[in-house]
Amino acid sequence: MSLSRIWTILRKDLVDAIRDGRVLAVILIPIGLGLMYGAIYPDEEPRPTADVVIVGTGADAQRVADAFPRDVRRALDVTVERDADERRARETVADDDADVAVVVPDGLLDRAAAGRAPPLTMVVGSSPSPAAQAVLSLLPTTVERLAERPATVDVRTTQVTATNPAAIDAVGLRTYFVLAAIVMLIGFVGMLVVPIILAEEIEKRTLEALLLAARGPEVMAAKVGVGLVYSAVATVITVLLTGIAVERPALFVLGVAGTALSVVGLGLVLAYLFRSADKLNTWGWVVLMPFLAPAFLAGVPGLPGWADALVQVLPTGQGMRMMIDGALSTDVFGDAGIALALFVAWAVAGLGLLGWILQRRGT
Amino acid sequence: MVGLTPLPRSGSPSTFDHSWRVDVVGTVAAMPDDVRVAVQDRPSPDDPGAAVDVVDLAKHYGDVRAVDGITFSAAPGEVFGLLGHNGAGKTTTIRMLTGRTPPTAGRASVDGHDVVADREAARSSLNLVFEDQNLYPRLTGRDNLKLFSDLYGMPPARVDELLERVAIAHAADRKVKTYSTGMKQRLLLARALVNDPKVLFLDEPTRGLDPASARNLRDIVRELSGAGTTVVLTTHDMTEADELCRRVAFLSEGRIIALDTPRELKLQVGRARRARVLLEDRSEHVVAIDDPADDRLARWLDGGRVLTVHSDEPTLADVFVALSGRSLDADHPDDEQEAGA
Repeated sequence: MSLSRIWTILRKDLVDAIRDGRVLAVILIPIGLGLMYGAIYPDEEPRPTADVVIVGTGADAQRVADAFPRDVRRALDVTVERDADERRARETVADDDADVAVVVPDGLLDRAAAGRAPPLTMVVGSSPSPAAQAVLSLLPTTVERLAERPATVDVRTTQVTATNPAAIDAVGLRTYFVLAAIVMLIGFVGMLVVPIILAEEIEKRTLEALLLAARGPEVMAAKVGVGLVYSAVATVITVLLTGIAVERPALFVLGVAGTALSVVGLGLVLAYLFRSADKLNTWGWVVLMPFLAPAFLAGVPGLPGWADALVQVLPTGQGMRMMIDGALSTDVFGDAGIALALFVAWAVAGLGLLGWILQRRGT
Repeated sequence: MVGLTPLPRSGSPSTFDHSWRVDVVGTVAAMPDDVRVAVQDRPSPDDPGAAVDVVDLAKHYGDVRAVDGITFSAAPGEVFGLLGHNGAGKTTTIRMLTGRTPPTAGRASVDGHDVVADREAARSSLNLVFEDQNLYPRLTGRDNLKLFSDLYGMPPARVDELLERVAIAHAADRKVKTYSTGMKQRLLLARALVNDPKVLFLDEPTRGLDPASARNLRDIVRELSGAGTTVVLTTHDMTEADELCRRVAFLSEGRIIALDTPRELKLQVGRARRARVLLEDRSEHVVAIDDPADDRLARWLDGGRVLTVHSDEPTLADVFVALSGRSLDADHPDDEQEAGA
């Protein structure tokens, strides 16, 4: 393999392809969507909201449930539900259907009034949202007010592992949809732009001229390079124009590069299956859409099992998860190793399939 | 009749400056460009001096034998024609010789390099003018050439030199999509010359060109041949083949059914020699020269009535029909296989 020849072909493709209206449109559409998402979703929610489950069957549980939303109404919108079963309340928090579960034992207020510091257990997820943290700090004040005595409860906070982390809550709607647009962009580049470039070369037989002067793997490496460069440049443009925060750039870049590399091999296979840029432009979307859906579903809580499996198996789903983690200071998903392994598996499968097709064709 | 086989040579080549081993097999002997000479240049497999050497080369697609064991060689500086109907195996042969399709059997070398085992070296010695005008239309002529010049590692000056040579320097910075068919064909030729190939393959190079552009391209082919470049030409234009090629091979059903000089092939058809005579009264007649009973030509000449006399020899197309029993224009059922190969 000659790096010089790969660079020569890559440079030609970068200059030539962007002059193709189809390619330009396919790159600009997701950037435009990213900008649109950035504009229509606010940076921060105008007023924080919290879903709280009050566990307990006694009168004190009812009093706390009634008083807490009123006490904090200037700072927080609270929705309260009652549940008698503590185990079920914990599951509700774990499933991210509530921010906090508060266990109010019978006689809590009497013991607090007597100064016996009864325990007040509050259950939160592994990464408490700002709203959950507000509940943790404000609820003891309500109990103290109801007991008419300060510092009267022993607050015990326990964490449950989230079964389906609410990434949308963690990263915010605006960033979430901009990231989804970036994954869409990478998908478009890998599975439409790159195959259109290659299919046009096949169709117009310029590929045969290239293959006289360069080796097949060099030509294919250049096409992969085009996908990576376009993905990187368009991602940087989208991030800069939307101004989303990327707390951990290395993880974010790994997510972008991994997603791009894992879809571009499949894109090259599509070029050999369709062998026509126009057909790809018309029908490539049919193949592409199922690949893009996981990007929008990755952070949605309460997905059915099959949908969650799809998100985790497809590179776009894993790419979205890694990019969300990269945008935050702490992990929501935290399975970067699995994501990287999946990226490698998809890249090897795509490029391996391409190699097999080319070998069968004797080219 | 003589058989001429090119011998290994040294120094700068030119069209017909080879040393020849002369095998007298007939009664007339002369140098190759003597118009009255019938030259039979036998294939010389494994000839170390051959620029193109093909031995029992075959390509099968399942049961379809696109090329079925062909053997020929071409000398340095020779223009060699591969002729045949659509689907005869011409394109597949060129694909194999240019290392783009592996053969099923046999072997081939270009400039002494095996096209399969030593593809990299063979590739640097050859180039091809494709049948399709496969250029990058959104790039300029200069950028098209520069791409391939860089791929072959040639100096930047090579691009300007070639643009001048094929007379499109004035349009070098225009996008190729604005070029005429003739300009594109010249650019294709320039691209094929970018690595200064020792063997140049031309696949239907004048198809779709106007007569002036076609003549211009043929002139360049002659120049290349004169400078020692071996040219392997496939064409449907029998006049072109007759004009350019020192030897031609007729392919049919993937096999070579005849290989010789155009003149010798035409003589081999066996048709009685005839002359087409135009008399002063503007009447035209065809007379049999070898028929002792037909003394009309002698009488017209004696009487001073003859305006023109032309030999009425068969064309290469006639030869092909006579040898294969089919027209050069006829499509073969396996055309699609060959085109998609």
